[in-house]
Amino acid sequence: MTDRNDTFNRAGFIGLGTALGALAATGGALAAGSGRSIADLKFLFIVKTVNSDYWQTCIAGGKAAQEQLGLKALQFTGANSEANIQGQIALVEDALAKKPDFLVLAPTSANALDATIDKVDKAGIKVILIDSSANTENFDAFLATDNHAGGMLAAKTLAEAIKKKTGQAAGQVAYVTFLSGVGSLTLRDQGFLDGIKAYPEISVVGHQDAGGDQSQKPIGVVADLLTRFPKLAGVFADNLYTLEGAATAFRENHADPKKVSLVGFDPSTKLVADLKAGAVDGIILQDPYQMGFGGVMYGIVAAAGINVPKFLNTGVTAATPENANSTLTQALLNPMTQRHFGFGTA
Amino acid sequence: MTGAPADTRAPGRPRLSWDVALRLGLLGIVIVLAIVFTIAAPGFLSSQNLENNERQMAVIGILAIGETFVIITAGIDLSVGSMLGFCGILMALALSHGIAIPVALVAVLAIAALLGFFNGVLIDTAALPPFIVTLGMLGILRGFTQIFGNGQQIGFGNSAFTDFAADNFLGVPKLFWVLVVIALGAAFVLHLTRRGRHVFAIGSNLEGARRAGINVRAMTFLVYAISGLLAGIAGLLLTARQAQGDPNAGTGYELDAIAAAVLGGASLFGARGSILGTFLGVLLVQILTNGLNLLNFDPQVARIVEGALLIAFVYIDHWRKRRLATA
Repeated sequence: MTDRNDTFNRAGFIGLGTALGALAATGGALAAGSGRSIADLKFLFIVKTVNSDYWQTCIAGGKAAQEQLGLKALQFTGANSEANIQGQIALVEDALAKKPDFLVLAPTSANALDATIDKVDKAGIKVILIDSSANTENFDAFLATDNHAGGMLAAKTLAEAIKKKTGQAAGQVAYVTFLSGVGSLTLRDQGFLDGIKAYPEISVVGHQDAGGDQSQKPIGVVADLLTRFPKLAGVFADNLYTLEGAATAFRENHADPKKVSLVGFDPSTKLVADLKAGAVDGIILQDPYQMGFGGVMYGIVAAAGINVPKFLNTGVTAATPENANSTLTQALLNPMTQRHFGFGTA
Repeated sequence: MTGAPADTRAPGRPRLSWDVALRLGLLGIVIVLAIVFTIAAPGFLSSQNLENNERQMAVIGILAIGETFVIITAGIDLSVGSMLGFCGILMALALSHGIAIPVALVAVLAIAALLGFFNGVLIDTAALPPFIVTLGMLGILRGFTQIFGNGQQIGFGNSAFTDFAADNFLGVPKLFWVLVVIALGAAFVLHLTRRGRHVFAIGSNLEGARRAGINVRAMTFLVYAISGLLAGIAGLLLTARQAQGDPNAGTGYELDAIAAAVLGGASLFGARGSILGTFLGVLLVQILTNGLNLLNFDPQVARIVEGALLIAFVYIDHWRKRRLATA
């Protein structure tokens, strides 16, 4: 049941391994004759917002790399919300003045951050993007989930859940997006729609948008989908808040878990409990810890003047009631407490 | 407290009937929408869908009632969304530490009322504009919410608390009963007591109210404390419904609450507004959103229609006033 897109992983990390190997050969000294070592490096780590489990996990990954390698983190920070583009631009502008060797950044907007990223790059600071892309080419590496592949995996997981319950992968499904116009979510939705095409008996009948609200609206829009389509066989929710809202709406509407399935992105303690209880049929897990850890590692290597691979897919994994206790799922669900082993182990 | 309360309804007769007409118009729109959706959208009138609507409007409804008190005094409370999130996190933290529900509930609501009271102190005693004070409080409370929650959702294994949000009483969700009880209480205080008349008097003419012997200071403290308390209650309900404290809960809800109150006839210039009107405003927005969803409209359409209705209602009101002024 475990799926993992690790083609790019392996390629990317073989590259990273080689680069770090080269560094190790010089005893941690960054470039011949520079007299600088890893411990002399300074970096900034800016995520979209510090206010979420997801980004906290990402920061934990970055901190783990930083502590083990002994370099200096100037700041781990983010704006007050994922919608605060200006707030993030200000943080990056401030970062410039601190003259770090590299910047690990999860851009809030693919367009709005471009000019700022260009400025950082021009100042000779290495830029490692994580999680979300930017439209500029002036960065050194990009580590992220392949969201389209994640959407396709969600489609497959949902179809299999439906098949397990009803005997065939057939019926009406709907999907809920957290906020229209967000690049990563659009890719997930498109991946879901592309993935569901492999099941000709399944038709996508409805689509809803939670308008970016993290608490009430996702519940309401999923409840409305359940009302409008009484025969609904499945729902796909494209992020944490819509998945949580959907789970609440299912509960309040007494949706029969034997008839209607629910699959979505990103875990929380509550959702994992729901998964084990069978109220949620699949959670698509990303690897924010890996993004944070890898982001710092790539930053070090790039700062040493080594050309790192520009794209790295950190992978997606589907957690289901069946594999909820497997080692990989547990490691992804509890990256702070379980030793994380990651790549290509599935 | 000496002297007669200021007669806020001196030019009131025609205004009152016009207000009634607008409220009837609002009620009419709600009824027409309900009929259209009943015919066009199968499932609209199902008991499950009615329950969904009732649950969905409880939180914004309670916020909007608090906002109505404040708006009638010509004030504004932008901090209610953050207050909601703040109280939700406090409650989740308390429950996750095993504190009994009644103790946690009373403590959190006391804090909410106190913080609202503090808004009132800054507005009256420090003579700061309500917009600025509550905008500041919006940021302060959200910041503390994030710090207390450590930026994460806070789970708590208290099923008695979450069951409250899922359960019904007499076939109606308990969440909605809370809204009904609060609305009836608020309507009584605002429309049938002397203190209620003082709220209108302050919004009509602050200096006049003071000269008429109204304790403007105490009343200002009171209305902001009410707004804070109700936002706290909304926060507890949403936390129960989500079965966890969410540090981002309530972000932007202050604008939904203000829009509902204004749609219901509350004037940002003060002295006008009613609990019934606000309730109808919340009901209209909820039915509109739900019905359009059931008819498979683009999710953005409900927002567009809601915005257009808001502007149209206020426009009709102003147009009528200008005509009265030039008559």
